[in-house]
Amino acid sequence: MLRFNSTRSFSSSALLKTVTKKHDLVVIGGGPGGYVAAIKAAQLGYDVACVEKRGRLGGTCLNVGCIPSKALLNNSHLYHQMKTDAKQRGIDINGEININVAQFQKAKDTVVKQLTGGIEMLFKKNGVTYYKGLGAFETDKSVKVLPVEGLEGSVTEDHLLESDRIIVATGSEVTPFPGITIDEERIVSSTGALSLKEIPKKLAIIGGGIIGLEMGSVYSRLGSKVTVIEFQPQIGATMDGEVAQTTQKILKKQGLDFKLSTKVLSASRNGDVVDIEVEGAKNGKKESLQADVLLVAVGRRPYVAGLNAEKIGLEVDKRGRLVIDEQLSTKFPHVKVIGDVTFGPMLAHKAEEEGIAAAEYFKVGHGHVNYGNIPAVMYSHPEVAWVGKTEEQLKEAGIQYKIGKFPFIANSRAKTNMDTEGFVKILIDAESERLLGAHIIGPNAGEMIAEAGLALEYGASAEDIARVCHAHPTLSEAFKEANLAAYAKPINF
Amino acid sequence: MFRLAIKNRACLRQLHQCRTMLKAQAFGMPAMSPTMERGGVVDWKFKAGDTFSAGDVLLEVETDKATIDVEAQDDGKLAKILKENGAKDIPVGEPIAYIADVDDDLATLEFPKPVEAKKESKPVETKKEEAKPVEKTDKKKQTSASKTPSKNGSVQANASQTLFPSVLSLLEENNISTADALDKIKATGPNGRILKGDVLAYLGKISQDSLNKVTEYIKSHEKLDLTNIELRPARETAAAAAAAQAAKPAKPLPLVLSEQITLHVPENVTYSQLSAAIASYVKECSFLAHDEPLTNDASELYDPLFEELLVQEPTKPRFKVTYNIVDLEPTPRHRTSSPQPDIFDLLSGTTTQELQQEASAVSKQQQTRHEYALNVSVAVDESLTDAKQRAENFVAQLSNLELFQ
Ligand SMILES: Cc1cc2nc3c(=O)[nH]c(=O)nc-3n(C[C@H](O)[C@H](O)[C@H](O)COP(=O)(O)OP(=O)(O)OC[C@H]3O[C@@H](n4cnc5c(N)ncnc54)[C@H](O)[C@@H]3O)c2cc1C
Repeated sequence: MLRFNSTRSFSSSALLKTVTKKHDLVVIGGGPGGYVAAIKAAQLGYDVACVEKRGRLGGTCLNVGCIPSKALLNNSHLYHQMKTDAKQRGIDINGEININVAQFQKAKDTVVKQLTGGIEMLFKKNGVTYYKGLGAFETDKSVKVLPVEGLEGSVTEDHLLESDRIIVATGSEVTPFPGITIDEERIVSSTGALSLKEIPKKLAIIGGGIIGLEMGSVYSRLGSKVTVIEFQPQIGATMDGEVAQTTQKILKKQGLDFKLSTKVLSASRNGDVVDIEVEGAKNGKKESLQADVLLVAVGRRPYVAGLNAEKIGLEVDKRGRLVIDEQLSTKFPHVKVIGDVTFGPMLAHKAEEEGIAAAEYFKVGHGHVNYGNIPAVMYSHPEVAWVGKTEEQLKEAGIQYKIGKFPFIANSRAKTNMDTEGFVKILIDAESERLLGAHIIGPNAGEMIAEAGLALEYGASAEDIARVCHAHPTLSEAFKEANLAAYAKPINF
Repeated sequence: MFRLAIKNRACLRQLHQCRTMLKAQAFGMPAMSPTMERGGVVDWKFKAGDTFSAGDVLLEVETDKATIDVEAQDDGKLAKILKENGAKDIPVGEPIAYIADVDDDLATLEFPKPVEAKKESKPVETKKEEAKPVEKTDKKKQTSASKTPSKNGSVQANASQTLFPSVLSLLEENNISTADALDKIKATGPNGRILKGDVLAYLGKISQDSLNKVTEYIKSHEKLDLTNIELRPARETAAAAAAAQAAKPAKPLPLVLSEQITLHVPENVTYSQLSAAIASYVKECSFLAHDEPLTNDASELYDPLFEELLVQEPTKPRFKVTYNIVDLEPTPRHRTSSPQPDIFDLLSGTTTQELQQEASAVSKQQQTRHEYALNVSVAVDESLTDAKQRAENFVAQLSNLELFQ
């Protein structure tokens, strides 16, 4: 006979329990910085856990950043080309070419789902334990994972992860514009702009940086009248000045309107329209604009909400970045920080590089990130890509330099593709001819910039690049010719 | 983990094949990072005479930054240890042991004279010329460690580099041999790479100053600028974080109560008996927790009719129970079967004291007990005001569970 013995009477004591687990290394955040760090560390032999609160891995980049924006850019470009370009290429389309917004969005969502799911598979393959929940520092050697409501697969109870090594990769969030409330419907951030349900007739964008210009390109191709409002006298953030100007000209030709040196005073939603008040930064002239949708794209800021970074005494600078040293360490050598939440450019590949380096610092004591060689790409059409120094930076540092330029109009492949806008611009040291920077506007610039990165990493001179055999006919010949132009003379121009 | 190549030894072997005596090879202090200059031996994982296989950790080496395992790239034999555990401050490249082939006879093995660390940086290059297939990482580590940056940022050229096309053509134009170039031209490129500018400066065609300037400029931008960091006062950050939290009013987390209960079950109770017993007990507790009045029903003020009016949706479950039973001693022990349990009688009628007496009596008779964990989680429907209380009562009731026969 079995019997259950009950010895206590009913009580209402607190019964929430915490499960304690131990890992060699814990990564907080599963974006490009965090997931790469987790996999690398696992490959180096650590028992690794990764905590992510979003429910899907890949962070900003895969879910609401690089990947969905590139899906929209590519498909809107195809649409636009078919519509405007097919005829002169000898392709007659009988019938109408239309955008199916729902399918257009679905194609993007499918890609995102596949890619984020892919990372989960990689975690399994590499033996990384994945905790779905909010990571919060308990001490400098333990992280609490808290359940997140409504999150499928979320941990159901608090987990305390003890670890001698912790990597923080909590990323960034949209910087709000003071006084403007984002409702993600009519006044949107990049996240809302990635999933608009209809194409706005008029789209206004605050911020002429990469994100603003990319989203502007998408909707301009789909038929929106796009106005970009930028406080600086120039678009394109950290682009080389000449390249930024050319980019602006090209985008203008495509139909984007620019209001530079213009300050936004206020914006508010009135029913189905957004009213925007602006003022000339120099002349103080006021103006009112109206749009169906306003995109606020004035940048991103480090994200540490809920992390309890202060609780364990991590330092934060005035711009909200977690403070690190050259080895990515906080004041605790065993707590390292990577990606958007700390210093350096907010780019996915920079976060990834640091993820690898952080794992290696832990394992072998050294890692490699060359901050002088981090490429940046804007995926407009034509693309804009650059790496290394701009003319402005070299002037400021007092470095004597030479320029080599080659236009795509003189490149045979660009010609055959009827896609000849833009140029390659090479900056080299005037005497040693070492490559200092490469700036490309043109078809496939984002792919071509990799060659410049390789050359920079090895300290190559323009001659070293020009003496490498490049296939014909390819766009990359333009890169070779620009280098030839930098130290000698181009052949085909 | 660090893979250290000792491959070149095998190649050396071929060159010495004609001799009757086989030579052991010096194994130098490895460079574990480009900046490492000296290191210490923490722990040899093998004794002299032991054979090891590729992938084995030979020893732990200590640098100023970390302790790192050194792995063998090939099979071999540890012939002799020169630097014992605890030896510190050994320059990179200085021999710390001799290694030989797996089937070499230590008695007839010839040990080369130990070489000074400084000279050791050279043999890496000569070795390379005798025997080509040296593991890349090995070369890089050893040679990069041999460079000592001069004031102007240039270093002794890395002897194992493939020269840039611009460099080769300049050398040819000026009748400089590759060997001479590697020896004489100081390198400013990464990892001791000779750049076009280095040759031009060597030839006096450009000024050394401008070369130094641009080299320094590039080097300084390889790292993040972490100077002049302005810290935000700690309180401000806390406030900002709080504001951020407030801005997005986080919905409260769903209330889930969890409990783990350890059950000491007599050996002769089978898993299926246990699981059936628990199933019915959980059901019973759940029923009780829903049924039991929460207020003091002995009070004069208690009116069942009034209480019932107050209860929201009386028939709706207050919580949902999920549980699993985990065998804490999964190694099978011999178990005898017992008759099917007939009653799952709870507290009714039996006083606490009696039960405890009974329990201790039983545990005396029955020494061998098997441990199971009962993991219970209770999802509370918080839309009902009494749900939390009832769920807590349920868990409390359940945690008093003790099973005996
Ligand atoms: C529209 C848009 C387009 C972009 N396009 C590009 C591009 O083309 N190329 C490019 O290089 N970059 C691009 N970026 C930037 C890129 O997305 C970021 O640089 C990159 O995602 C940074 O990676 P990260 O790992 O540092 O942070 P994130 O990707 O932001 O990942 C951080 C993750 O941590 C999670 N997290 C935060 N706090 C916690 C916590 N306490 N507990 C658990 N999890 C937490 C977050 O949910 C998030 O998933 C784009 C960004 C946007 C918005």
